[in-house]
Amino acid sequence: MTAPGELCWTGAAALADRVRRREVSALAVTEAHLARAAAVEPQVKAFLRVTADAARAEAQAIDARLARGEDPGPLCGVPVAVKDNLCTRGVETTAGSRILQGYVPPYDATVVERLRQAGAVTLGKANLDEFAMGSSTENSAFGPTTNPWDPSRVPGGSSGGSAAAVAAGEAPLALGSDTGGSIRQPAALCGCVGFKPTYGAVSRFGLIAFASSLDQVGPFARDCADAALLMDVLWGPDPRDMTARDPRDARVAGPLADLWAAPRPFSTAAAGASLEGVTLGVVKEYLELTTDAEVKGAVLAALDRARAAGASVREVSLGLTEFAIPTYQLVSTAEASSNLARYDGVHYGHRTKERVDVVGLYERSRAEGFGPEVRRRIFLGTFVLSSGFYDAYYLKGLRARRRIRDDFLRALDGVDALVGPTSPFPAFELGARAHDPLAMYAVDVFTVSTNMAGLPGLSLPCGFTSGPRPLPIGLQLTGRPWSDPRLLAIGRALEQALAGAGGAGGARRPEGLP
Amino acid sequence: MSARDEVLGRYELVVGVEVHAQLNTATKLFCGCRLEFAAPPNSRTCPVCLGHPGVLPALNRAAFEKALRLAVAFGCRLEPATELDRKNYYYPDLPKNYQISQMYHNLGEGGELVLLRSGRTVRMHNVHLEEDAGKLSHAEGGRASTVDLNRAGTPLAEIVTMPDFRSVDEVDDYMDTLTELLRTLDVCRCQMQEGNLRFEASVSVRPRGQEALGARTEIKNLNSYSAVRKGITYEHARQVALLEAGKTPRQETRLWDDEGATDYEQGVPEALRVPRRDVWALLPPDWGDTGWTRFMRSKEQAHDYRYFPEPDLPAFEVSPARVDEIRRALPELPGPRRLRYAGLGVPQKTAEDLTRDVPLATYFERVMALGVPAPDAANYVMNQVGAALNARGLSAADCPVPAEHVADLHAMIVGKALPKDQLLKEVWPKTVEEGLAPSAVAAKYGLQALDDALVVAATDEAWAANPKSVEDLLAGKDKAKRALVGAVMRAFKASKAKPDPAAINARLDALLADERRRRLL
Amino acid sequence: MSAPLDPRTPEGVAHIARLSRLALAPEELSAMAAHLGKILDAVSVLERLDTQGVPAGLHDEALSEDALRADAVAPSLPVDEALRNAPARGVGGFEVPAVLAE
Repeated sequence: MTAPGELCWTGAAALADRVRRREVSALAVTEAHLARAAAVEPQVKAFLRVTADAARAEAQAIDARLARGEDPGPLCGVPVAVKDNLCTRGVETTAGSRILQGYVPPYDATVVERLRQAGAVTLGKANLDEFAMGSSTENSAFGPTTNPWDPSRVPGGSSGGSAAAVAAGEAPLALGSDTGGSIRQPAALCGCVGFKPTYGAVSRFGLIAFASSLDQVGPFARDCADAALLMDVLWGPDPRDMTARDPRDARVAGPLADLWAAPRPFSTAAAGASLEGVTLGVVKEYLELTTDAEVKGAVLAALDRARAAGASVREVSLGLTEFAIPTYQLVSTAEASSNLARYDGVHYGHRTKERVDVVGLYERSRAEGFGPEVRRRIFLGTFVLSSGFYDAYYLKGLRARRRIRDDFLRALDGVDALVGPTSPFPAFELGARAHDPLAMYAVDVFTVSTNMAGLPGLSLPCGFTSGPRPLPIGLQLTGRPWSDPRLLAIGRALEQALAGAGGAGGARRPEGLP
Repeated sequence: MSARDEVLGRYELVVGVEVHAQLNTATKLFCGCRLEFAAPPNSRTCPVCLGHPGVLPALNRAAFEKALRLAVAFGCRLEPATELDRKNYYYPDLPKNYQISQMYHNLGEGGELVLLRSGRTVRMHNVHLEEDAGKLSHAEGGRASTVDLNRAGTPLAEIVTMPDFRSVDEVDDYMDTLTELLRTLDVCRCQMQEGNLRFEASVSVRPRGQEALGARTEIKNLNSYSAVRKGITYEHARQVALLEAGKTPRQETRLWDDEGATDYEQGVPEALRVPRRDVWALLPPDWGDTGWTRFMRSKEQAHDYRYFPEPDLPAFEVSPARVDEIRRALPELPGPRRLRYAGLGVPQKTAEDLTRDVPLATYFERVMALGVPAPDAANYVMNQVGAALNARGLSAADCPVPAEHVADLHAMIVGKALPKDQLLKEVWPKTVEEGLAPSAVAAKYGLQALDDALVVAATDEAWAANPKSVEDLLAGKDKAKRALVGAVMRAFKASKAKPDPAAINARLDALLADERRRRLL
Repeated sequence: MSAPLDPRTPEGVAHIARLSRLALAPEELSAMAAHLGKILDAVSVLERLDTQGVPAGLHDEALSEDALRADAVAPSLPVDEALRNAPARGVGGFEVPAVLAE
């Protein structure tokens, strides 16, 4: 019998197995995580709301199904934290914004539906930067989440709540969304695994849109095998999202279609993971821009381990790196300005109490409901699309985006994945960048291009900083379109190679938490 | 020529028309909510058409196909792929505060339509797909309005012409032609009272002989055929009156107001208006006091819609193979169909009526296919079948009488199986009511034609028995003939078989001629 | 349509504020103008990126017609559910301050 606390450090795959074999009940697993959350939440604040009663009821339903001899699915009894920009039927969903305070969706996001069908237990809604706009979770209208490794530091963002929940042992798995790094960067800063799938691999239906052509939903886990387990549940076409595609179709994934034809393509690929014969392309510009010596050192050390495990490493160049953030600013804010137009105080969400005409109702409700960063992006995006500026800014952005994508596809030619740090530096102090928007945008320098090129991206822990409060360091792998199962398998092999070196992977737990 | 005609005659009217046609699909453009007119408010809504956070549009295949059929029928240029765009503006009936429409890659560009009455060709500008908004209603004097989103997301084809119309009659011709086309293609029900068709007109005038177009007015809110006619007529007069006063119309948007009476040219600067009487002087004499275009906004106040490609939807393939397939499957269009019917001997008016009612024309075709000559088939379909449908308020698509019964009727008339009169007045109603073929009706009720010899004998008998009537008839009193026919009919009162009045008349005519000849000799 | 306004000025920002239906206080206008100025300066680096002849489209491939949604009716929400999140409900719908034009 495992101590309840130990259940919180057991991986998702192992938990599902043990619940399925009825060694432990789904309810006991859920209770252990609820207890963990109760203990650490006052400090971490990963959740905007923990739906304890609903979670218990779901867990009991899983136990009842097991008692009847049914198989509840691959995530049998596994607790999952869900980023609060994913709609959950009957459970308040705010996207971290005051404008959606009190909004209760009448439907489940497709990925939430898939979680339920796979037998997962939804623990609650994780904190985020308002409308996923930010890199520290400080833009949440409901207060920041703190980094489980050091409460004075940010967890990254925008999926900071999801990353922190997984890192703090509150949930073995979490769902996040990634528009410019919002899964990979907090995963790096919190010391867990975060995966951003190829654009179109996972349905966006029910994901509260930030920038539609960049947004993807993806998993957080404490190792790549668990991330693969969750990806096997998430991926696949959805009639409600016409941008979600079926990679088993060769017209979509080309020669990689075969990779997806296996029954559980991610777990299958991860199970046979090896670095033998794998070619990694280390991105010259990313190393040059990484001024933090410990981050750079950890990535280089990881590459040595990869070589030792059979990988070949070569240097590649992404010559357009300096254009990434500005291009991302143009494209993402343009879409955001339109996506966020619907929050107007008429159909749902916050409505001003002032007595005004209908235009005043819009202007006041939106001014009261949106935080400063969201406003900044709406303004930039509105400007970018406005008459007289559309060609020079929006279309220029779309063209630059294509050039960046082509730059990536060229760099990926002949290598299995691009490698570099996920973030130029480890977790920074709360407030350090909050008042300098441009400094905050710069955090995403290594991650935004992956979204603009529609590629799969993975961040996994590769070491720690030194000092009294060591902070995790993340390594990013970027793959060709639709190579997702293979990319996650490379991540799995690399994390196994690093585990041999000690100090990395999900084995280490944050100190100083209750 | 009246003074009015003389003034108007110095200028040329130039009109372009935009039509929003509601596609007759079962569900909305981007979600599975049922399209239903006059359903309880907000009862046909879901998270998608309510614009809830996180929802995405899923394009309706039938709507896409119908809009494509329309573009193919116009002969539009088609790109290999079409894309949707967002048109951004805030209005309470627009839940996302953007409308999914098309701007940069319309479904169809160009194309043309031959007008049915005049035979003139109108050039099309483009055809594209878009979603409708909901409905905002406002109680008179109330402080609040309410929004019903049942209509939000309804699929529309927007059909835009070039400025090719030079008179209101031409626009009228276009509206009729387009309505028939939309019905023939089965893309729109064209029920004006349900808002299936909504018009906007862009109107300008220029001195005759001038090449350059004048500044145009967009007229909105043209929700009936008569509103279109009146809106353009009014705008024609207003702009001519301005020019006559030495003023220049500007580009602006106006709203047709059927009842407008009290706020004439409110908010319009002096340089852009003329006294009301000057406009009225150029309107038709029966115009009345009300009905005008109300100023809405100038070009400077125009919305900045910030169109950009809809990132929630992929591009949609318009493959040449598919276009060919659609082109081959196009039904015969109204213009050619009218000509063909006329060529088959169907009267012009009947040919037009048949073409206007697509299910009725289809029915007519079936009757012809059963060997009934076109003029006869048209006659039965317009009269016997039409009456049966009207009485039941049915469309020919739901006609309870199979075409075979019409063919049977025709065969009995031609074969003189029964008197024509009896077939039409007695047998046909039973055919409709009982669902039996006319020959089966005749058999069921034991109806049979009388032997001609019996009719002749009975007529001769009546002739002999009614000398007074015969004398009257000889004196030219036609009433007497009816009395004689009545006498013959009475002779068969107990018989199931009825004499054909035409046969009695024929015998009477023969007897009368004989009698006249006899008396002359 | 009015001439483009410089977003680095309070007037330009006020114009964007109207377009985006987001009221800003006078002091917020100048802060926003300063922010947009900084961003646009940073974005001006793109002038050095040659994009001549690069297509601006968002899509590389087109979805075939059979991938579209079949025209089949799906259940709508009950009216109460549809209006549940409405901040103000009137008889038969979402309520807004009186709108008279259009």
